[in-house]
Amino acid sequence: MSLKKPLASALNRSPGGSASAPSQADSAAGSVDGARAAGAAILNLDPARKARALRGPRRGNKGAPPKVQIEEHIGRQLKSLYNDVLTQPIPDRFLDLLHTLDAPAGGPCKDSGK
Amino acid sequence: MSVSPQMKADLLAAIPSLRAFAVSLSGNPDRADDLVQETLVKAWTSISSFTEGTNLAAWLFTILRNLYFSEYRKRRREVPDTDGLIAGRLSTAPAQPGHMDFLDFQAALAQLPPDQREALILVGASGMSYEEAAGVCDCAVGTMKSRVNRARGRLAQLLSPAAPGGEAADDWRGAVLPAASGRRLSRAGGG
Repeated sequence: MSLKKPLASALNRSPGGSASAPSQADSAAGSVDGARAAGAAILNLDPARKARALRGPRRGNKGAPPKVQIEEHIGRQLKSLYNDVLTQPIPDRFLDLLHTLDAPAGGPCKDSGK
Repeated sequence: MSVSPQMKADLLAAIPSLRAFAVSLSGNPDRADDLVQETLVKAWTSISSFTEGTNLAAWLFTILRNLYFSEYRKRRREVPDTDGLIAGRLSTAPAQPGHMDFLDFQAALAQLPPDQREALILVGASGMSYEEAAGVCDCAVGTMKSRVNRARGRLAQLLSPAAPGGEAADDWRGAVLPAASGRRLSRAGGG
């Protein structure tokens, strides 16, 4: 899908520095449906795919050639590292952060935060 | 800055994935959580440029990896970071099979060039397709495939007992995986 390119190049305009917000307005305006389809693809994975990602490849492929074995080993290790963090509860600091961000700047909330 | 409750919930739901990506990418849990925090702040303040209903995860991953890479470049210019130190040490040590004990998977992963590491994590762990990963990294799909392949090859080389890093790169095919490099490996080394 050609959606990805304009989207990503728009996103990558922010090299982490000056306030440059990733913008995907252009791509999104043109192809909302495509974008939505792509959106559904990642992380809001369908359950089967998610389960597969969490489970990793089959174990014990003893008959496979060494190359396959080591690739499976790498795959397992990688998923184990990733999923170990993925399944951890969200640390409080992020809940607090979102809460802080959500508080209206000049609103009724205590302004001692800043 | 107004962020809809739905968007807030989506951001919250994306945090575990962002953390998993950040830890795998940076190899450092503290740094990873700092990256996630910066990503969330940046996403929140730029939320107007995100269109609801489009791919939030890809958008967030892109912000995070851009932050990581700009920080990575900065650090390389300034102080040597701990990752660099570890990598430097490992790059001389693992030639001897006897030193392979500590070269576990994470250390090997940390030795990869960051673009290859990123590619491998996105495709091999996050569940993204090559196309999706290429979108996050703003590169061609072919480039993404090539990075993943090189990452796998390099890891195989690093995890192989007889890999001084040169022509022996392919020796792991004949050599057996080091038992030391992972509990699960003993099976592979059986024959």
